[in-house]
Amino acid sequence: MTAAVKNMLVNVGPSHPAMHGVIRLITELEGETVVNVEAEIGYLHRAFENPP
Amino acid sequence: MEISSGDGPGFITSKLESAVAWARKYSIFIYPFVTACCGMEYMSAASGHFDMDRFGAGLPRFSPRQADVLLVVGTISHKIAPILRRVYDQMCEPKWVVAFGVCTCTGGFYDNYATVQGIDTILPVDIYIPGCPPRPEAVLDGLIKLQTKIESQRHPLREI
Repeated sequence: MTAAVKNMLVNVGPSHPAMHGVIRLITELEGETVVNVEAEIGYLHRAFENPP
Repeated sequence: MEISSGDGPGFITSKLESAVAWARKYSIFIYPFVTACCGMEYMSAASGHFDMDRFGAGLPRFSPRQADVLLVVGTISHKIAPILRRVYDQMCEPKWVVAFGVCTCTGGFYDNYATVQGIDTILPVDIYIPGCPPRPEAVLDGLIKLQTKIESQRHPLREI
């Protein structure tokens, strides 16, 4: 009998000292291989496109 | 530190609390919370040329649980604000907060719906270093002011 092997979910961010900038990555790992990434952006949205 | 040389040579007397204040002043472990362009200027200020280790701040700690000073570097938007507050809450006492750059001091240029207008609306801030970005000399001046503040504070060895 073998145990069911599931991919591991690792959250990176939104702020991590090893990253430059802020982004949230929900990574799905199969061993050491990244098989999927969901990225959430907008942590540094400061309305740069709207000059005061 | 208040010290007196006592009656003869060979020993000095002081208060234990002053000694603790002196030690903490030269043992500043910074957690850099870097979000934006000021991060580049922080890297330059932390380089060997300016030698922040002179002020005991040479070793950044990348875990809030090991840090004494939260250095907030770069614009804080309303979306990142709860995360910043959470990092602050994870730090152990005694802790201090330094606002690095005008965005963290007041919001600066970004006077709009997306940006927190000064991190002192969400955290208690000890030292403000304005500038867009601040020059490394200004950062060092802020560090010296932080040292002066740490030394002037009480450091009780138990609850008072």
